[in-house]
Amino acid sequence: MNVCIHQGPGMGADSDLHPLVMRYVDRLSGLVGFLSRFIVQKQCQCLNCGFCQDLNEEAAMKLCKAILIEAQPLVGPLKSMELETELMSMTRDYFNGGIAK
Amino acid sequence: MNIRKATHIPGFDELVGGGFADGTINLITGPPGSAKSLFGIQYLVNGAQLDDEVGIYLTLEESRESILRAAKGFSIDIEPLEKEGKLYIVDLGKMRMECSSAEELEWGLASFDTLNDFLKNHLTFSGATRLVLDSVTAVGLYYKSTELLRRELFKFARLLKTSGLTSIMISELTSDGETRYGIEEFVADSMVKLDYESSSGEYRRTLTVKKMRFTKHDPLKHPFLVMDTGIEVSPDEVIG
Repeated sequence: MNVCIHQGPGMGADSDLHPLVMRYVDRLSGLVGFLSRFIVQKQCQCLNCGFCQDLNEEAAMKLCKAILIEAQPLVGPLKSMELETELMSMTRDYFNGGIAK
Repeated sequence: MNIRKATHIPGFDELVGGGFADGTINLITGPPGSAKSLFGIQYLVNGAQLDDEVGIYLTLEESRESILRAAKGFSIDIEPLEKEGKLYIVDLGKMRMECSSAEELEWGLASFDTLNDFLKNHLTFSGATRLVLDSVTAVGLYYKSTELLRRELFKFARLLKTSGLTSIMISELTSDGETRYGIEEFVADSMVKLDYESSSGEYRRTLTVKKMRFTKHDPLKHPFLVMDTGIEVSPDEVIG
């Protein structure tokens, strides 16, 4: 069972964003381990819950970029570019129904 | 066969049989301002440029910007090496700065467990063979007792030794000339002390290889200079 990484209202395990956020965590985890949860949670907490309730692709892309900014000092510029492509593609797929929600 | 990682720091490798023995942990100690970080930077940059080896500089206190600026002062340009994936300046200090003390403790950002987990994953894509941890003193602050720190440090050291890394751990010395926790030197395979002293009005920097397993080393105190391009040791000159 997945434990939600965000404890705030509007983004629990049943939130629309949760499966996508967990995919970000999983991908990043393969590069930086446990710190991926810290990075992603920190960025989710920065977003207000109005955003979570009004979830759209543009907002998720913003979250993606915020995660990348935090991850770059850990994975370096080379891997960061690759990660950016992967997370963006993951986000687009999610909103286009390419990933089962 | 005893394979060694040359530091390519002028004069130093001659004192230690050609460099650090492969897969060892090497403690670089000294008081503040004794060029410990510079030693670590040169070890990684020289390894990347001259031996084509990937290195990780894991900093818990000094910022990435500060390290880049310090290196530039010695005509060492780190950013092109980062872009090539030859050198990683991993700034965990930035993360620590951005959260409260309670959060830092809760997440264990500066714990050996976190570093261990981070490195295991990082090595899968970076392929690093050289590591500098700056500093073990900062990690030690996370632990409430010396006993716990000793146990965790030994576990961490075992991981480093089995992961194919030849590591430098930077550790501060107290004003009494001892390592901060008194246990760092027992975990490490070697200990190099950087210092400075004043004699007859003359101020000079010194380097002493206090211990080096698997190596017939020179244990004498040698002067070194911090030149425009970094540290240069005088292996033929001895102090005291």
